[in-house]
Amino acid sequence: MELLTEQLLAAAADPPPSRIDLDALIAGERRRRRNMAAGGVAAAVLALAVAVPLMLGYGGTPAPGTEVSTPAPEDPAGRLTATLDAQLRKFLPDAAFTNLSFDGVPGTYKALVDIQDGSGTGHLSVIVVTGGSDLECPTCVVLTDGTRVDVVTDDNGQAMSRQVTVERPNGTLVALSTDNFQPDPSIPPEQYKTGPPPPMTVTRPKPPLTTDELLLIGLALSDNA
Amino acid sequence: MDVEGYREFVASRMDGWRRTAYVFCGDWHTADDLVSTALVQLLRHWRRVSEMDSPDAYARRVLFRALLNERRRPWRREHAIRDVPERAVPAGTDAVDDRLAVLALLAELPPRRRAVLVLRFFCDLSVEQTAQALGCTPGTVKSQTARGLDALRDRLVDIEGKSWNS
Repeated sequence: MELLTEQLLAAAADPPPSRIDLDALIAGERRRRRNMAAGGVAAAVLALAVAVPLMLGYGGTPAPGTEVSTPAPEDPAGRLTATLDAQLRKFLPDAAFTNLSFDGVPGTYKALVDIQDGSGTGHLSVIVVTGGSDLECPTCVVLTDGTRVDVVTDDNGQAMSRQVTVERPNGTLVALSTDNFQPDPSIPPEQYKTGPPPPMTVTRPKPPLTTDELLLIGLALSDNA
Repeated sequence: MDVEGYREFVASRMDGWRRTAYVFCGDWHTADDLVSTALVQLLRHWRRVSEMDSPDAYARRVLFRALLNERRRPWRREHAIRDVPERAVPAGTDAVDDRLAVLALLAELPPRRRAVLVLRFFCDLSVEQTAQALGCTPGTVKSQTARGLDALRDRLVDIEGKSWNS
């Protein structure tokens, strides 16, 4: 087999200059993280525009004590909203959920929620995709039923985000992210892509949900997608 | 995010990853694209990766995931060809011809079989390390290696009357 090894080594012996720009890759990843953080602001803006009509359509997650409309069981978005509502009430019984926005289009469901309790305000974003995913995730933990789970925590000492991704064997993917900060609301989210990182305001000591809770919510949502 | 640690780790290995990707896909531009994909994945999980006992093994796994996933995309889908295509290079030395021939032959193999051969004979990994990188069993690596080498031997003999000794 030495000849094969020699020929393979020789084949790759004269590489052209690399086109890979490591600085650009790192900057791109930073932008992605900033954009994720900007989800809090985007949620607020989006909520103002669509919360009322969407809540009328999907029920939503009103503050404790308000009446919840019952979603139609055959409506996937309604089912997911009801599941999310039940899960949030279970893990955060004393919290209020505001700035709600839900968006359900065939195959995709998105929810953004501000969570307020005695510790402050945090954010939760949820994306559910059905019908097959192409998750590249070498760090995923595989559960006994084939479900893949990925957990990422970013923490700079004050601002913190927790992200959990759940991929079921049938291809249903649920991505959840919760954080304890928000960018300066005076800066439009689109500026984050090109401008410097916006000033972050830490809104509570830690995100309102733990990664374990995110995982349980993700599993519940994927069961009802 | 420990960017400096990431830079240091990547800088010392980038050249090897590019060569590995090139041997796998036979095109330097695609190789750079695939390595870039792997680098982003690596960066995204760097904090955990940097604490691993063997970050190299993880990085290799990420790279080969990127290679194998990329081949599944429609615009990269491979088409079987009957003959090794002629190459637009001037009549060169046997060594040049051999290099091109071995890559063309390799390209005819199914992606996972090709990945096994690249890891075993280009990256010089053991059967166990190869299995770990591809997320399969050592038995699968052995069988894929044997089949891959058989295919290469047959094709090389067809083309040039040469043979690799096992």
